[in-house]
Amino acid sequence: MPHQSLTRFALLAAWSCSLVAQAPPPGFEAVDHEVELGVLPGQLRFDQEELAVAPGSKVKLTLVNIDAMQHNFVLCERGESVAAKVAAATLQLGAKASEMHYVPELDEVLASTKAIFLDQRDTIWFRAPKIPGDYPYVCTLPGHSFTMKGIMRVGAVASKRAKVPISNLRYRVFRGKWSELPDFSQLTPFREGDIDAGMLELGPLGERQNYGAVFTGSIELAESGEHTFFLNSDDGTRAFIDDQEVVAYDGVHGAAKEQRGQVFLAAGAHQLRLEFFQGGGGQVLDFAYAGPDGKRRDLSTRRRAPPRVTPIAVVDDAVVMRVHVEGAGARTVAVGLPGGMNYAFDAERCAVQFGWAGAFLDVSPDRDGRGGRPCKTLGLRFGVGDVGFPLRGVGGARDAVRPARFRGYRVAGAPTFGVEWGGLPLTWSIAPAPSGVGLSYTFAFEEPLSEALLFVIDPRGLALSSSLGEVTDGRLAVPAGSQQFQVTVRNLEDVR
Amino acid sequence: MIRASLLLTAVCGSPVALCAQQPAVIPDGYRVETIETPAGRAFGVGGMSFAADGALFISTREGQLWTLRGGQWRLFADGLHEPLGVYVDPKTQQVFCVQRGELTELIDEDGDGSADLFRSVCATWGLTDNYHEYAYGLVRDGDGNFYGTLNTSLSWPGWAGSDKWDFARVHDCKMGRAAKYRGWSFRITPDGVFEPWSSGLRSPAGVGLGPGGELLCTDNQGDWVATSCLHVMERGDFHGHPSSLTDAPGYLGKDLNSISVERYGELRREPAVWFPHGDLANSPGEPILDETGGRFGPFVGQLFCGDQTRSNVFRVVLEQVGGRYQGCAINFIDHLQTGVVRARFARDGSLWVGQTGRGWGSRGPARFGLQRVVWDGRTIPFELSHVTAAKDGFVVHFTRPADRGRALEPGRYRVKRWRYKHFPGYGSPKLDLSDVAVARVQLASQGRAARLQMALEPGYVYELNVDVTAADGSALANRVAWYTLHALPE
Repeated sequence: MPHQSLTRFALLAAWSCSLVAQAPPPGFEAVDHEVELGVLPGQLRFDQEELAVAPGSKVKLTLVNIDAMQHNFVLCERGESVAAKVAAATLQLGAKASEMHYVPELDEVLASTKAIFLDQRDTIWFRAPKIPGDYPYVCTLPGHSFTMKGIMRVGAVASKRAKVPISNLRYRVFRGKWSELPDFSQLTPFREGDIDAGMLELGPLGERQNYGAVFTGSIELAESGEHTFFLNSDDGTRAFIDDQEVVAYDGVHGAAKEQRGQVFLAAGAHQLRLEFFQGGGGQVLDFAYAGPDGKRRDLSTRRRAPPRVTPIAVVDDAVVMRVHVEGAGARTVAVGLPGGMNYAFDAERCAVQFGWAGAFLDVSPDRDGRGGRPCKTLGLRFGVGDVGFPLRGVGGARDAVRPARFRGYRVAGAPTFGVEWGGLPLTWSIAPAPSGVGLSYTFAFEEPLSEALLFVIDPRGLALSSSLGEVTDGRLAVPAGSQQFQVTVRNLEDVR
Repeated sequence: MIRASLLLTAVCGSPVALCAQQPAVIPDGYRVETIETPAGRAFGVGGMSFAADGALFISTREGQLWTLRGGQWRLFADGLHEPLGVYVDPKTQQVFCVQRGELTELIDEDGDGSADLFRSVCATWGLTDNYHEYAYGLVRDGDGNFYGTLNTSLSWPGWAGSDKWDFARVHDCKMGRAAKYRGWSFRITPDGVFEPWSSGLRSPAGVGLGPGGELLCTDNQGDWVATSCLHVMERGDFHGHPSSLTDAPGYLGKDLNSISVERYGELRREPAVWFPHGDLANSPGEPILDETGGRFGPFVGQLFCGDQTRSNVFRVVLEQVGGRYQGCAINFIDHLQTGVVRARFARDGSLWVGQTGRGWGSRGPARFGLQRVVWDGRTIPFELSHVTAAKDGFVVHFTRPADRGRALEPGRYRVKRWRYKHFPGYGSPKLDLSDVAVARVQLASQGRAARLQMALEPGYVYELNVDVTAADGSALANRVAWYTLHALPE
C-alpha cells in the first residue's frame, strides 16, 4: 500500500461544548468542501452513506448527533476490511476507549471526530487523500460499525452547479411545540444544511413533528413589476422578500387554502426567507410565485415522504419485545443487546432463530395504522444453527428429542429464558459473543444433572466453543453432574 | 354460570390533568374529565384494571403496561405483544395480561414498581403473523379461571399482511381461521390449562360479566355478523361465524362449505342484543357492569359499553324472557375525544374509559386517550332507564317521572322495527323495515313507566324514539332505545 501523504490533524484541543463554534486551524479558513453528516436516530446509520470530495481538497466536516446513542466519525484508509480492522481495534482499547473517543491509534485512521452525545456536534478540518479512490468511514462505537458506515469517494467532483430556482438555499431546523410561528431569531437551531436542488422541501429536514424551520436563499427575478406569491402549508408559514413579509399562513391548520400576497419587486436578485413550523399530523409546504408575465413558477417540491421508520434504540440495557418479526415465528421474543447484537427467540419452539448485528428493530409495521405486522430487523442477519431447542437426551439409538415448553423470561441485564424440557426446568441466558458476530449461551439447571445430555447445533458456517471443551460436528457432550455450561456461537461468514 | 370476582377498586389519586371540553351528548349531572397520559408515549388503551389499592393498570396497543398511582404514571412492563386485556387480582395483587400469543403473569420480584419476571401461564391457542389475530380479555371468575376471546384471521388477500390468510373461509367470507381456535372464546384454568369455550365469534373485542355472572362478549359487524352485538357465552355455544368450527368437535375434517348458510343460522345462538350499525355502535369494546351501588347515578346493575368508531358510551340492559337473554341498548355519552374500547369503574364510582383511534376511523379526533365520566352525586338526569318487553308491547322505564300529558300521547312514541339476516356478506341491511303503531299508552309507577301497547313479533329489533319530557320539563339527552326481541313474555 503506498504511503499516504495525508496530513492528519490532531484537531483542536478546544474540544468543548458542541454548540460553541469551533475555529478552523490555520490554512483552513476557506475550504473546498463543507459536509454536515448526520445520523438516523435509533438506526445505527449515517444520514449520508456516500460523500464525494476532490483529491487533496480541504474538507470541513461536522458530525451532528441527534440520536440517543453516542457516535463518532472515523475516516479510514482504502481497503476492503480496513474499516472492520479499525472497529475491531477499538474493542481492544478497554478502559481508555472513552477518553480516546473510541479511535484506535492506527495508521489506517485518516481523520476522526470526537465521540459525541445527543444534540452535540463536532467539526473537523482535514485535507482529503491525494490518491483517488473509495475511503470507508465508520462509527467505531462498539457494535455500530456493522451498519453505521459509508464511503468517501475521492475523485473528480462536479463543481459547477446548474441554475436553480433558489440559489444558496439553506435551512435551519429548530425544535419546539408552537401554535403560531415563534421568533426564530431568538432560538438556536439544532441542525442546518443546504438543499442543492434549490427547491423548498420538507423531506431533507428529516422531522415529523414539533419542529420549526427557516429557509434562506435568493431568487433571481426577470422583470420588474407586480409579483404574486402563493403559499399553502400545514402548519404555519410566513414568507419574506428582502426582509419584507409578502405572504403568511400562520397557525395550526391543514393545507386548506392557498394564500396570496402581492408586492412590487425590481428585476434582479432578492433575498428569500421562509419560516415554517409543524405541530403534529400531516406536513405540507407549497410555495410559488408569478411575475408580471403571470406565469406561475414553483419554489417548492413535494416528494414522497421517505418510508416511515420507528426504530427502537438499544442504549444501556437490553430491550425485550414481543412483536412479529420478518422471517421469525409468530411467538417471537426479539431481544436487542447493548453493543449491537440482537436475536429472535422463538417461544413456541424454545429456540434462537437468527441473530442480527447492528441496530435493533423498526417497529412501524407494528405501530402504524392497524399495526400488528412483522417488524423489520435493522442490522445484518446471521445464522445461529437453529435446530429447535438444542438439548437432546442420550442413551437411545437416536438423540432423544423431548418436548420443550416456554416458561417465560426474566429481564435483568441480558434476558434469561425459562424452559421446561422433558420435565426438567432450566434457564438459558443469551449474551453477545465476547468477540466477533455471535451469541454466547449459558444453560443452567436447578440441580446437577442426573444424566448425561447432548447439546446439538447445525455447525455450518459457525465457529463454536464451549466451557465443556470442543463442539464436534455440532455435538457437545454434557456430562452428568453438570449444573451449568456455556456455548459460544460465532458466525464465520460475513453476516448476510 | 360464572361468579364475578369481587371488584375492589379505589380512587387512584387525583387525576393527572383535567380538561373541561364536554362531549356533545351527555345526560345532566355527568361530566367528562380528560386524564393526561404519559408524556411523549403513544397510549392506545388495550386493557384496564384497578388494583385493590386503587392503582390503575393500563396495557397499551404499543406493548406497554402502565400504572397510575397517586397521580403518577409509572411504566410497569414493556415489550408486550399488543396486550388487549389486563387483570389485577384483587385478593393476591397478581398482575396478568393477555398478549397476542400468551396469557402472562407479570411479576415484580424486587418490588421496584416494574416487572422483572414474565411468566408464561398459557400459550396453547394458534397464532400466525396475520395482523388481525387479536386476543382480548381479561375476565377472571371466583375459582381463578380466566376468560377471553380470540379474533378470526383476516382473509382478504393483500390485507392480512401475511401469507397466511386463505384458511377456512366459509362461503367466501372475509375472515377465516389461519390457526387453531381463531374465533373462539376460551377459559384458562388457574394452572394454565386452555379450554375452548364457545365458537362462532368474528371480532369479539370485549369480554365482561353480566349482572347474573353471565360471561359476555361483544362482536363487531362484518361477515356473518349482521350488526355489532352482545353475546352471552355458555360452554359449547356457536355464535354464528363458521370459520371457527374447523376446531369444533363434530366438525373436524368436515368441509364447512358443504353446510348451507341457512343451516348455520339454525345452529347458532343468536346474540342477546343487537347494536344497530350507524345508529349506536360500529365496533364495540368491552361491556362493564355498574356495581357502584349508586355512586354512578341511577343505572346500577346495567352494562356500559364503548365504541371505537363512534367514540361513544352506551348502556345495555338484559332481561331473560322464555329462558332467552334479550334486552335494550341506549346511548349514554356521545362524541368523546376518540374511540372507546375499554372501561372500568373506580371505587369512587367514576367510569374510566380507555381509548384508541388508530387503525380504524373514529369520530373523535384524538389518536388515543383516557377519560373519566363523573356523576355529581345529586342530579338524576331524565333519561330512558331501560325498556322491558310485555306480551302486548313494551314498557319504557324513565329515570324519574315523565310529564303526564306528553307521556300519554301515543304519537310521541315513534316505533320502527326491522330484522337482520345471517349471511356471509359484510353486515346486513335492515330488512322488512316498517313503522309500528302504538295503540295506547298507560303510565305506571307515578309516571316513571310508560306502557306502550302494540303488536309485537319476535325476531325483530324495535327502535323506540321517545319525545317526552320530564314532569319538570327536562329533555332527554338520549331519546332512542333499541330492543332486541327474541321471545314474548307469557
